[in-house]
Amino acid sequence: MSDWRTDPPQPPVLEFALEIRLVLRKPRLHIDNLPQGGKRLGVSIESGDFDGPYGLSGRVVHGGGEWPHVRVDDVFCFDARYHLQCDDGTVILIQNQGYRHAPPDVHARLWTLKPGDIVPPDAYYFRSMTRFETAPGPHDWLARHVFVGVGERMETGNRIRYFKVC
Amino acid sequence: MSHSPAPTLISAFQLVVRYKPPLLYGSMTGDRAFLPALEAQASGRELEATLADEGGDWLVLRPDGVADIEGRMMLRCPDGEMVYWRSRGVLRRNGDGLDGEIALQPFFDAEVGARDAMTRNIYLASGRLSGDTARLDVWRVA
Repeated sequence: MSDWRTDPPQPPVLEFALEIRLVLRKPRLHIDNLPQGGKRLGVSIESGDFDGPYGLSGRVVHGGGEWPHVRVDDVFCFDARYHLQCDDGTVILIQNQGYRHAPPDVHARLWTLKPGDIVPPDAYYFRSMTRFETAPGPHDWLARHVFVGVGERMETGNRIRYFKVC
Repeated sequence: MSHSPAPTLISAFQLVVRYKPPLLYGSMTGDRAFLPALEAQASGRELEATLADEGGDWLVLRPDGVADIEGRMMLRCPDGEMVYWRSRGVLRRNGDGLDGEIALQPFFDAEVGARDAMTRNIYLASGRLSGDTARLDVWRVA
């Protein structure tokens, strides 16, 4: 007989929910030499768009941004929040925390990506844990789950695919 | 829109937490609950540890039956090192009580060294709260 205390672990299903494409402002702001080590970046959101298989589509609202802490071991610790506006007018707050890291040569290349330079996403680790907030309505399922994001660094910004943890 | 395969989940450890009776109280932002941890046991490939001192989970009970849940606790490993567990996520309640399904996003602090993977990878935890006990299976997102 099944017992929730002792049943073998079953991994949760990850279901593709949406992809967000962000255009990020340049140059990045930065505070170097933090007392805790590393530096703090400030990267504003210029624009973006998103879509997904559950009728989600729209634009990223200008403003908001990400403020990663770059640790002394060159791990980017993301801390991002901004808003999405769906085509039906619904506003959604997204909050992202996560890590990006890579071997030193890939890290250096990502830091100074030139137009047209695409680093294969499997050459680095770029994952986020994500929460959405929105009002009751057609998209409120977003606020009932946590999400895993798989990111790619592009010359113009980030592309992140989000998976619902079912 | 382009589809890509979901990331692989690698079993990291299991965390079982037993709580003291909850503290329920109102606030300007809704009903709240505090679940003080009585004991916790982490066991698996990436972590063996027990609760060190106090800790617990703080809940905001939303009107849609979901509780936002945030946890903090310090875990002590057999080698004496500490691991700090900081989590946030959702508890989808079965009814009026606190029992339900849990999905969490844990983040860790640990000394540089043996547990570096925990401070540079994303993890997720899924499980259940029933009565005074939560069982969480913790997965590393590869």
